[in-house]
Amino acid sequence: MKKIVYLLMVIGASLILFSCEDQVELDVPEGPKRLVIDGSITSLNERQSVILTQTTDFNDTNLVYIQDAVVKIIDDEENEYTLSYQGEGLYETAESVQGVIGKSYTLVVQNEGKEYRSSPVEMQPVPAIDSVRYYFSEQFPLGSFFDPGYYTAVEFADDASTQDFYRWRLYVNDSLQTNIIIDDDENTNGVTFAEDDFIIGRTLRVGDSIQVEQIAITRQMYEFLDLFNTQANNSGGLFDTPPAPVLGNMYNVNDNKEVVLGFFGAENIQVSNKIVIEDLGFEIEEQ
Amino acid sequence: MNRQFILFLIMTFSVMTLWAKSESVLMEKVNLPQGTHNVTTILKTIEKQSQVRFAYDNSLRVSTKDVHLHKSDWKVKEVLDHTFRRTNISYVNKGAHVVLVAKAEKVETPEAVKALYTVSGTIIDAVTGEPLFGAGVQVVGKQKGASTDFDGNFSFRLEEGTYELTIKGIGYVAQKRNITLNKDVVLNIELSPEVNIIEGIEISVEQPDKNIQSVEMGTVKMDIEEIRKIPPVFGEVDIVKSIQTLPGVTTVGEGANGFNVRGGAIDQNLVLLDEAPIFSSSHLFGFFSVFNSDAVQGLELYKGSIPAQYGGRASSVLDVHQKEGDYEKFGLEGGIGVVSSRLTLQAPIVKDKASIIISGRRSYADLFLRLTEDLSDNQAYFYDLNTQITYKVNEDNRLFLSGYYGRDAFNFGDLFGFDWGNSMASLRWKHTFNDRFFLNTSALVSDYDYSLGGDDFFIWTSSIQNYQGKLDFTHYLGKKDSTETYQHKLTFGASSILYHFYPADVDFRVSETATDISLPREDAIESAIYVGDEWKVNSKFSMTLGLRYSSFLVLGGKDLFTYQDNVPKSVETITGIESYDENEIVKHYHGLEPRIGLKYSLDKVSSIKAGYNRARQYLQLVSNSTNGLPTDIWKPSDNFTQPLISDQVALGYFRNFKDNMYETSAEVYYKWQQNVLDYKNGADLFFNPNLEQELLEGQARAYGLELMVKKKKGKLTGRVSYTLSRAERQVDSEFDEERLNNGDYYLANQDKLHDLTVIASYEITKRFSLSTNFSYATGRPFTPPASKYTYQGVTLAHYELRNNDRIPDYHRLDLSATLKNKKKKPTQRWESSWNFSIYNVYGRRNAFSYDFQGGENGLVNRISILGTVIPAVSYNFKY
Repeated sequence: MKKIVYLLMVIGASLILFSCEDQVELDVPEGPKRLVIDGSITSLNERQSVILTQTTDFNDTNLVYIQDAVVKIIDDEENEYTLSYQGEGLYETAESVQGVIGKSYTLVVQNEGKEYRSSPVEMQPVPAIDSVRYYFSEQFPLGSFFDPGYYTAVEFADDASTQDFYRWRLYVNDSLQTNIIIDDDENTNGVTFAEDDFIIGRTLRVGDSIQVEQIAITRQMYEFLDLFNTQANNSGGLFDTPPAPVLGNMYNVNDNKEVVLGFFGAENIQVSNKIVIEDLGFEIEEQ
Repeated sequence: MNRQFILFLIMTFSVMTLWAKSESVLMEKVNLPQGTHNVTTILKTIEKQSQVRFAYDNSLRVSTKDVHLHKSDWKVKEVLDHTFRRTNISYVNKGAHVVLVAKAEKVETPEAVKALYTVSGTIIDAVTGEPLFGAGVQVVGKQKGASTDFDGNFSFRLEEGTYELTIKGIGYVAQKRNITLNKDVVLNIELSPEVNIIEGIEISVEQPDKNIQSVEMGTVKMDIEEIRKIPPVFGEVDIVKSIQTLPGVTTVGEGANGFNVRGGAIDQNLVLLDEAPIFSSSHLFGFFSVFNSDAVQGLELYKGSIPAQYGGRASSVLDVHQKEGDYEKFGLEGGIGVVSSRLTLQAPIVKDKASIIISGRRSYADLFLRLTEDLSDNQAYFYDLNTQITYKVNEDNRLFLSGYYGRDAFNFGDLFGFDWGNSMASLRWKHTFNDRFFLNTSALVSDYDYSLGGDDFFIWTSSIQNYQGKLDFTHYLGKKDSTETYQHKLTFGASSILYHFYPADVDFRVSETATDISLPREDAIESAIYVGDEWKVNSKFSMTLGLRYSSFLVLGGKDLFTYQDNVPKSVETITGIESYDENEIVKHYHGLEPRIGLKYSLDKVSSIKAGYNRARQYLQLVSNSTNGLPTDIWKPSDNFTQPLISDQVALGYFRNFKDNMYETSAEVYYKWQQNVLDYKNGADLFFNPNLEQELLEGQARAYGLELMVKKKKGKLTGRVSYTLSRAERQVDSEFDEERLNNGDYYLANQDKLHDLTVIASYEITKRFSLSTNFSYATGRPFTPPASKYTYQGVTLAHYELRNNDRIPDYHRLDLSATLKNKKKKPTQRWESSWNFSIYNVYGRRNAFSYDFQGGENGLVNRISILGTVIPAVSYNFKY
């Protein structure tokens, strides 16, 4: 389904035939400063962390970090884990903490006299990765809009008894790709299938190492990331959806109309082996 | 040249026949009271009761003549023959027009010795080159002369000698010629139209002060000739773009689908082509409209007082009529432009009884405007085909069969295609019970569908089909007043539409996906009955009263979720599933729609009017793109979404100047609407079987002032229109996710504070004319980012409130020049012209939108559509 939407955007882009683009200065009214939460509790036994920042003026290039907040994660058995400031907006637990399937977690942030909370997020079960494959394609997957080259796919069996929401993180040569790759099992419930939606700006090459994290997320987080992606890919073109605020699961306890950005999630993560792309004997023209 | 292009040209030219236009109205029946009447009264009465329109010169002194009628039932021809049998007046008929002329003297048998010579020739219109019928050649000082026939020819005989001739035509500047007759003389005469007389005989078709005298307001009628005067984009004469130049009609931006009327959304316009609804009025995502200008006779746009016979849309009715074919001669018309070519054929099937017109158009931009160099097998084109067959069964019965098929197609090689279009067929029967009672019966089928996908992938199709039956009666009642108008014009009728909605039918061609994501069909029946009366209370005051009752039955066939009460609908709040049998009534919406109009004439040249209007709309277009897409979803009202209810009040002042040469008007309106569909922020609308979870209902209001000055006659014609308006929406709820912009009113996409259009056309010489269009409008509302932030390594612009700023003001100037080719012979039927146009003369880069994600160094990407000078040329011909 995402592919269809993507195709529409490609058609929209073809209307460049009639349109033109240039860069201009534009004065826009400056909006209020908002708190931004970026973090999750994960199933990995590690120091759990969140990043707290503040929105900046649209033309500003610097990040503004929240340095003096009190940050806690509370689980549904009232266990509290305090996160302390490490610099550059990063708050971390002192010890390793492991998120447990079926448990719910809430993030609490106290900043400038206001208390913010996330809605409770529940750790979801995640299927094991059967394999990470790579293959060569002349045109992937939607025709000639993409270059010939190597692409990757993750194969796993979806659980037929549950409605599942997935996210994948792709590391190419140990470097995390920032594309947020998500899917649901709406059309593939209970099917063993290969997720191949890894569009990362370039094709893969012989010698590249790839490693994939397969992550089970909540429906709410999936919807949030989906909306985030839509807005991040919005280019103001003919087919694009009008801009909209991407609202997550954080709120001000005393004023639920205050906009709080970002999301606090629960991520059950399966990490794949690292594989290196070997030459399958296809010729690729270097761009 | 491209092979396909050449092929297309060959196709275009290989089909040729002829053209002309006329039909006999003289056989129409009229009812005239017995007794002695002034001839003027008789002529007026005939005009009232038939399609006949008279034109005559005052020098005939028609008003001084009386005639006695011994019976009351006449055919037009009989009564004319009777009336003029002992006068010096004769008449010539062409089409609906009857021109009275001085009787040509019978050529007497010469008794004198002097030799007789023939004076003959042709009289043509110096501007159009059309032969003039009914023009007269008079010999000064003698009772000799002749008038021209259909082809502009005349001939009479005269003794040898020197004479002065006067050549006259109604509406033309008279000429004098001196001739010396010592042999046969052939004269070819060109008469120039009088500047202060309305061109041709259009005057008699509609009262020149109709804008003042009629009750209707917010109503615009345009014929295709008027539309052609507006400078075209890419040389394409465009119906929808032409109405966007009217006050109160706007568009979200160049290339945007559809049009907005008085602050209404694009789905609030009922667009009819020969009475059949058209669901998408745009080709190529909105650059061109689906109406081929060669196939269109004219249009009516109702912005305000919508007659009771129309319903189903909240803001306006655009009623487009296709041309009727010629009943006498073959005809051919066409044009070649940079974007498309057109060809129209007309022919009688049975002479004077039945005719056919077929009109086709195809764009070929793709043939030489390649999408990219290495994608040469890509295609992007549109085409359409219009046809109408008319059959006059007898005096009282006429049948019309109309058809339209139009399509847009994008093909990316063999891999992927996207095509969409409308099609419709309508059969109409017009019946006359008597001279005061008429019936129009229609049976219509129309379809809008699109298809997206490729053989290696999936094919997704979607369509809306509708079947409609309609009965419209018109009955004139009461006494006639001094202007021969009946006191009451009563209209009543009924209609019913069966809809089939196929939201998505997806056929996966690859095996990887197991689940069928097709969405089930939805059915509904929309019915209405109405009655309306146009009541002329006295010479100053008239009113229209209309009442429409409409009903919408949502039929079953699919399962619906039920939700907890009073909480936002979402997956979490589903309580169960309710099943409905096919054709079981799931929901019934119905209600009354009153329509009232009042007119009071202040004096002969001015009037004030007021109106109130309610409309119910049972289908709304769900779109979360700024400018509308072919894939936008027509959503019928159902258990979850209610019909839109729209009310409008309007007040206007109308005044004409200088013998109706200038029309001026000022109108104010206020419109309020309930149950306007909106969508949640970031809604997911594609393949969503439970759209109700993404939709919101709100209200809308729009108000404004519309001013217009129009110059209708003379070498310089045109209009200046200005609109000051506001269009707003409000979606409020106790729940955050169901509230937009804090629940406050916010500007609708189509809001434009100021909107100014100047259109002028100037006839420099008889063959050469210039026209211009200047538009200025406040930039449309848009949503700039309030700030930005970084999440998961991605920097994103953050938006707080919808439409809280505006893009810069829009303005643009277009020019166009039309050069008609000189005729080699005055009687030549072949006519051709060149049109040269420049769109956006000073190349302003009007912003369509801004891309805040793509900019660098504090700059943002500005996206402009048609943001450059676009010259175009087209060649048009007619035979």
